[in-house]
Amino acid sequence: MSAGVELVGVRKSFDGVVAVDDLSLTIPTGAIFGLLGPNGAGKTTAIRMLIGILLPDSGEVRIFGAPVRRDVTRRIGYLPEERGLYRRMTVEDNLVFIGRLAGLAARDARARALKWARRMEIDRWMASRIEELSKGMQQKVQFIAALIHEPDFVVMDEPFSGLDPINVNELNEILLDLKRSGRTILLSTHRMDQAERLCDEICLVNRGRGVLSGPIRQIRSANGRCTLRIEIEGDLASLARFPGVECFIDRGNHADIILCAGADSQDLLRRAMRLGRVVRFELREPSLEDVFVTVVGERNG
Amino acid sequence: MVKVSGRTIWLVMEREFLTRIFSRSFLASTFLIPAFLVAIVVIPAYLLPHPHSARPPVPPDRIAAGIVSAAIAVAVLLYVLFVSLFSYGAIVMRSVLEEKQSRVLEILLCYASADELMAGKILGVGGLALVQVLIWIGLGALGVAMSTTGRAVLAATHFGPGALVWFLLFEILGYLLYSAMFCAVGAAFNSIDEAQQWTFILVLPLVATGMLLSPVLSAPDSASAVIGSMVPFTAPALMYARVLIGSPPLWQTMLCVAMLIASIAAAVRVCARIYRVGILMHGKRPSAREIARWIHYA
Repeated sequence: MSAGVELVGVRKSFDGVVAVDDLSLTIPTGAIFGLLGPNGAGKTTAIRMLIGILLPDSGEVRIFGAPVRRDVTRRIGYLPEERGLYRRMTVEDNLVFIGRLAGLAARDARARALKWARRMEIDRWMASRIEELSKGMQQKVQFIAALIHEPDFVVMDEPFSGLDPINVNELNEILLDLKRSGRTILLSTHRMDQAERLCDEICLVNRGRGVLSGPIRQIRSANGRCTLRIEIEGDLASLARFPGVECFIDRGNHADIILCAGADSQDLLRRAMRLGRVVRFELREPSLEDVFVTVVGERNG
Repeated sequence: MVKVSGRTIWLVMEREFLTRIFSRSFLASTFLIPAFLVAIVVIPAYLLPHPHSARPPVPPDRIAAGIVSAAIAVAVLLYVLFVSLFSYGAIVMRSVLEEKQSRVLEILLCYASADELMAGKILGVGGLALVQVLIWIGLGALGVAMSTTGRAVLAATHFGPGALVWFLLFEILGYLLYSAMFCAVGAAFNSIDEAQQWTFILVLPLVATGMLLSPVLSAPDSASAVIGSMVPFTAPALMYARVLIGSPPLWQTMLCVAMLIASIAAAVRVCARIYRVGILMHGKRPSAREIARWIHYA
């Protein structure tokens, strides 16, 4: 995968307050990339620099190898965090206006708006004003607005907020479809479960800095602490002295063990087998949420 | 400097224009305001004792009637100029706030620069103002052509086509000056309530214009009238008043127009900077000092 979209050592401050500091990330072409982090971490500022709304104080932004210019931003589709549509205009007028602004001819914009509206099952509402629609439907329109000009790079800031589970699934399908057709997607979200399901790579941002980044599996195994539940016919307590054990909780018949980062659970298993017959050995992988809470908690605490 | 795209400005302009031209509020103001003005002029005429029922009209009365109707015509033209400067400026401000509050702006900024958006907005709403004024001129011309009263009023005022040309010129220049400033106010704040203080400051020169109008009309060449008609913020209506009823020296009108154009250029430059920064600022209400800083670093 070639480097699609890059931030290189980007810094941005507002009136002396640093929002993003020396942030670098690389989004491979054709990947779904998750930008994660707590509120106020600098995600939105980073996104605004990626789509050319803000210029970085220093550092570089490259979209498919080129600096951010108008001809490049037309290849971007953007879904803002808060809903951005003209409330008093109809669905169709909104979509056609944004499509034309993104470079489409009026006729193409109209045709594509209708095609997408059919796919999202909102074509009945094309002549309704935005303010007459439900939140979920407005979000669908917002989606079409981001995709109408068939962008190569799709940026979605908190796309799942306010959606019911059915719509979330529908959205997942569309994102995976886009990925299959070779689009590069940046997803900013709080919802770790969604990031875990969809993203190939992630970058965790905290206080304006990139804290962790890379392929999702690698991050989980490098930073998460596995929880082990173990039960043996023998002396459980001596397992507590095993070097890789960070925390040992004796629960009577069995024990819960949290391993240090980097410790191999298989070593512990071998050790346990020497102590007696292993009745239960259950390995629970850390979720992205565990990683998130641990890493952010450590740095902010 | 970023290259400005005419197509983008046109699209923004088109949207501003088309979403409003068929709106109820535009149609109402276009047709109700003239009806209201006609009522003000016509109803007193019916309430007064009918002249020819008592005695045939004599020349002094006709002169007096001519002066009165000329004064009313001047008042109507100035009122229209005055109201449209403020009301269309306010429309520009509300339009900026709507885009800012709904975050449509963030999408637009992907594909258009702040300068293009501001230009399109000012020109689009300006086109709307122009259409309204042209409809009014058309209605006025129709009134003059179809009624003897209308013809009599026109004869009494001695207005030539020049009166309309100057009207359009001052209307356009005044609109450009005020709409640029309203645009900046809309961009700097998060809601109409927050913007109120600054809207008030923008209205002050318009209020001053209103207060200076009658002294200027009674003594169009006094020192205060000359100064008032030169200060760009009050110039559109006051210089127009002087042009309508007196004949200010050509150098004064030319200087006035030149100064208006120069101040429009300056206002657009400063306001575009406020707009560029302001539209991305959300949350806290910015202080005047912060806004001044935006002008520097935009």
